Amino acid sequence: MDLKKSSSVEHGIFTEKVNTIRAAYKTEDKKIIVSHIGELDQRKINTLSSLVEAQLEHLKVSKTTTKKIFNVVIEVLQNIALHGENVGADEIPLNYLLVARNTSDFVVYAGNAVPNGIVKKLEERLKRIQSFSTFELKKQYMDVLTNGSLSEKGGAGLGFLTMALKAHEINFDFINLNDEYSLFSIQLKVLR
Amino acid sequence: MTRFELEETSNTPHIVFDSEANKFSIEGKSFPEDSKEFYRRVIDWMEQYKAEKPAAISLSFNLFYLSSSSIISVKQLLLKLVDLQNQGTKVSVTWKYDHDDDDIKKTGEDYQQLTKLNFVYKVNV
Repeated sequence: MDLKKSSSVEHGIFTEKVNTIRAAYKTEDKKIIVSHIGELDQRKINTLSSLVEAQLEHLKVSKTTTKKIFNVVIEVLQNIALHGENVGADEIPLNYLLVARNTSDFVVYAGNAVPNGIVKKLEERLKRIQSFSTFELKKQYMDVLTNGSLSEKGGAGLGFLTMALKAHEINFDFINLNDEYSLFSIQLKVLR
Repeated sequence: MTRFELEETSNTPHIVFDSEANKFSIEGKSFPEDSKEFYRRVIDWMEQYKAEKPAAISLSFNLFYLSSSSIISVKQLLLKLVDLQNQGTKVSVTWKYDHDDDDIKKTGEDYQQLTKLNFVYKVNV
């Protein structure tokens, strides 16, 4: 197998996904306000979250909405930093973050590579979360808060619940990259 | 006990634990890269403080933001205060928040419900 070729196949799929999202945001009232592709460490997370805050302030977005978006951005980025996998021979971190503004809402798009082995479990978990009412989400949240502790990796199981509580809508999809990995993408809509 | 202080950074709060000055406060933003690691020292300090059997402690929080993993770590810190209370220390938690910040206020209420500690809520002016 030509490893160099194979990592460019994954990269091609990844780029196509990001470009598809970008293509929807090319007018005055639909724009990408923050964008990041690639390596994510805490320093980068700090920079990106500050940038999001600054952009929202510039757009005169309410404090409540700004906090929600900030919250969602931190959660997706820390999730990627914790769980994202580097793919292929070149060990490319196939991560992306796009924050987009529409007239009546903001959408946070984020993605990272995940091992194929966890796709089914992740899909089931997110479908369950999608199906919960706000009441059920809060109950789940309190359950994890009461009984939860931090795993070795530092995750808490609260990340997706927090995202679902802050956002008005949550969508996701998986695109197969190769035998080992898929690109997991999540979209979180926050109303203005 | 030795005074404990952590300077504020872009993603971690300013923490002061000073038993002599009777000042215990946590202020700022909390989204450390590794919450477990960051709060380990903080929780350990409080664990050691239990041995001094203080008469009273009042811990003040003024957090603008808490990531989901640091929410768990702060809970673990509050559980040390529950231990102190069970030992006979008079414990109170002051939970400060901005007047329009329902999220932070609600987080305080969640903690109160969970720990049954005495929470005093204060709106930042």
